Amino acid sequence: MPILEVKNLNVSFKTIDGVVQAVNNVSFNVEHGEVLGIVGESGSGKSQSVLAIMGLLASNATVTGSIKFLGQELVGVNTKALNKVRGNKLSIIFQDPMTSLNPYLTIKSQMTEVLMLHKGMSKHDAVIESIRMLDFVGIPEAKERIGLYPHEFSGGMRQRVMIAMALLCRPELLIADEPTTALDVTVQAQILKILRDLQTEFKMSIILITHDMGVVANACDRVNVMYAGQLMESGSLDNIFYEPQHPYTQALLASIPSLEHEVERLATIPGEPPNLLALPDGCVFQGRCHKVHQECKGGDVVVQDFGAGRFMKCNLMQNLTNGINQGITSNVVVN
Amino acid sequence: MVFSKRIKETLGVPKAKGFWQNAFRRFSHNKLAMVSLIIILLLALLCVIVPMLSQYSYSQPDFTGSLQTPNLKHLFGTDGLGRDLYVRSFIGGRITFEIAFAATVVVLLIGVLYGSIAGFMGGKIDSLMMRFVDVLYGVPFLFFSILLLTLFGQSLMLSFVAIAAISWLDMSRVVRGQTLSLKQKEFVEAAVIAGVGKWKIIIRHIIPNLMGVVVVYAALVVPNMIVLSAVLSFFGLGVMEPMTSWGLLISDGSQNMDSWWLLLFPAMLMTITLLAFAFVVNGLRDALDPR
Amino acid sequence: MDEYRQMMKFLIRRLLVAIPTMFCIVLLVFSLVHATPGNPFQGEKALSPEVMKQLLHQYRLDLPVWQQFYLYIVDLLHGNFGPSYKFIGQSINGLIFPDYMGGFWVTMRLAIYAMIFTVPLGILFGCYAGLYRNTWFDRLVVMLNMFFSAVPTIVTGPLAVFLFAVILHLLPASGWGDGDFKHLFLPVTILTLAYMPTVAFVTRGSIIDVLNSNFIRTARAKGLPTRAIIFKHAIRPTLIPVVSLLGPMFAGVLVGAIVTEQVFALPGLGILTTNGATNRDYNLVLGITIFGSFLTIAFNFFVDILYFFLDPKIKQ
Repeated sequence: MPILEVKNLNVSFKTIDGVVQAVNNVSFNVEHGEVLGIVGESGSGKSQSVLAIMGLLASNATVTGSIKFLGQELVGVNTKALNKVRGNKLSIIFQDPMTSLNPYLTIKSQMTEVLMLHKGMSKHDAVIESIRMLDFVGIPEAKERIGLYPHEFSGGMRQRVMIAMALLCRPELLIADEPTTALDVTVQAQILKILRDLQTEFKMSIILITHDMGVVANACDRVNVMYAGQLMESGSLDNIFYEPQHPYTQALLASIPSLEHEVERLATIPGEPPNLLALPDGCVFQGRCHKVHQECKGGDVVVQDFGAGRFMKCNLMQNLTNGINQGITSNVVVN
Repeated sequence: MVFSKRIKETLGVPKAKGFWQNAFRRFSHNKLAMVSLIIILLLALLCVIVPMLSQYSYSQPDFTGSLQTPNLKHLFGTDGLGRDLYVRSFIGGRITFEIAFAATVVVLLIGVLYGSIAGFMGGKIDSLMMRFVDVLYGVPFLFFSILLLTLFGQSLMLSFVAIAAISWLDMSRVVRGQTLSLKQKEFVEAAVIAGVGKWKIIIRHIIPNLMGVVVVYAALVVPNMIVLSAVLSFFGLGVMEPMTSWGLLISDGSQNMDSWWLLLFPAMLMTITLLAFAFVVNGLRDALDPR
Repeated sequence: MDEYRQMMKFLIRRLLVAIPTMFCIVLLVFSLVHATPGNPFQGEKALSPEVMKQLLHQYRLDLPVWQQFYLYIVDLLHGNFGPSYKFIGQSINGLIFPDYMGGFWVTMRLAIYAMIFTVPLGILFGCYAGLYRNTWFDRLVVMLNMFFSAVPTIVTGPLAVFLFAVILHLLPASGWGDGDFKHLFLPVTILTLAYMPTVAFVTRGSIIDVLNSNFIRTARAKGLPTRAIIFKHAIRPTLIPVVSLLGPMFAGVLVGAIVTEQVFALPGLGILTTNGATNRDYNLVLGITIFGSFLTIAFNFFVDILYFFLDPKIKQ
């Protein structure tokens, strides 16, 4: 059984200008012990879909669909039930370590409260366990530094503290929402390595959200590609990197700078993402797709399932010949 | 000329015209602020014309008709000396507005110059100038005003100029902060590099771009000065009989509560004015200083 | 121990700012008073030159100004504001701190009562309004702030007296009585209403900002119950802007108390200031101004200490 099952997830926000459809009918699973990457540009709905899983959306949000974590439905449950899960078996680390820790409380106070709440530990035991976890994520002199305030740590160190805090209760699933975006490149690599090490150590699953294909290539087992609130393509890391099917995925990969081939100009995707207040009829990528044709401009888009968890949402018919799949096994029409 | 214009365009010198047009459009869409502004202008107009056109004098006692309740001949009634309260209310309003505007002009002059110089010069001069502001902040404002009125009591206007001379503290702080951020802007840096003199930069580049904040603050200073002049009337300072002001009328009215009109009309006029100014300030802030 | 030393260092640094500030204030107001032409005994019934000379000598006014200033500072350091120029034979200390219920004692009572209601209630109402945004209560807080920060006590006070004393006959219109509830209710209420909405409004804005911050999102992600989030994580950062408001507000309440005394004819510092001003008793007004400045600076100092305990970043 998958650890997390997301089915037909919709997230919309009521704003003064109208209803923003941030996440549009997204379904995916996270299996035990895998690292699932979710990539997309900003505004693609990748962050909003995981905030929906954590129940952390802004108050003007509406969520429909189903999110099942370890078999338990999370959509529509009350805060009390949600609080039994989050911080415990389900954890998250955020993009901005500079502001995500409470500047008015010591690291000790912020870490121990998690253990005392979910594990019922005494203060004394909680401090010992917290120090152990800080050691684990590579904070030197954790025993002395646990009494410090967040502003006394550097950005990379704060992100380590965030990771340690998220892992205190040995979660089954860790969500990392752009954990390296705000950090220096060298620190990015360290943080990614820590995540990878911890994942094997604790045998947990990770959802890694990023807009950086390099991070995906380094850390993920499986990849979801999102665009304008929709899931465009999903597959294993090799699938996505070596035989991308969706024109959007192909364009994303083409825009990665390469050391092997000299290119005169880096490929970019022309145009802008669609306005989430007024999505176009048909495919959301039609405005920027170089393979766009008439049937993309209206009606439902075909979801092509290639089996083994590999599918894409595109009207272009693909015949995969490399033996993973025998062509198109089924055409599921959504929307 | 052409050259400097090109520099302005490439360096992104704020286009003053567009800024004020936008601000005006935003302000005029704010109904509450617009209505308030119209009320203020209307009251100011009444303060000018009512005493001019009325058949009654604000100062001449008429003992035959003292303490009349409001009636058709005396819309607001008469006071203990039989003077028409309608005329007195508006002549009092005129004095109140005059004092407030005069003081505001002084506050603006000192505050803008002081703040922009401190902000632009920076370094030791700045910290010294700001220390002085801190010192003045330590003196409770009302006490200082009373002290000044005690010293300059003979001349009302002089007193208020003196009071204004200690009321520019907030203004100078705001202007200084704004100047510090303007200093970082490319068009000021460019002027510095081009060797334009400091004073010229302050007057040509800094002060014109401060106008947004300054207008908001000026609209805040006027009601503050109205309140201050009224408060001082309660201490028996400021405007003297037979001339009057809203503060003096309210003070008199609160001594004679059996004649309710003596209190209620001036209090109502002052409340309306102050609320209108508050709404205008809000509107200006939204229009000029969108943060 | 470390904490203690940090705090002493912080306090000393603040004192090194406060003391020169106080000195500059004294210098400023003193020179302002003494730069005014003429002396306090002119203008009344003409005094013979001998009497005038005698008076000037008695009040040290015949000495050079710098010497007068030196002696004044020495007196101040002994807590002595000098003699009154008009209440013959009275010291200013005796006028400000009389043996009976009057002067500063009345003003202090009024200000303290008002602060007791203003600060806790303002914070409570502000938090409530911020937590339950866009409810009728929230709108009421915003509207009351708008009204009472625009309309001063000299307007609201007489109107309240008119309503409760003259029309409804519920409360006495003015006077201290013997400091009983009935006499103090209106002045304290009016003074509280003048400042509490501001505290509530600032608290409201502050808690709204804090609850939208990233670290509160982290606290929610940890599964903490709402109560713990508010009381452990949100309350301190919420209070910081409120505390920085308290310094200027104390000066405001002190002055507001004096104005309120004028409205309700209470025998406090207000009436003393009026007497000093109308009789042109410079030394009395000077003394009250310096005393008021001292209170303001002392309170700002106290607020700084509060800050020290609230904001860990200040310790560095």
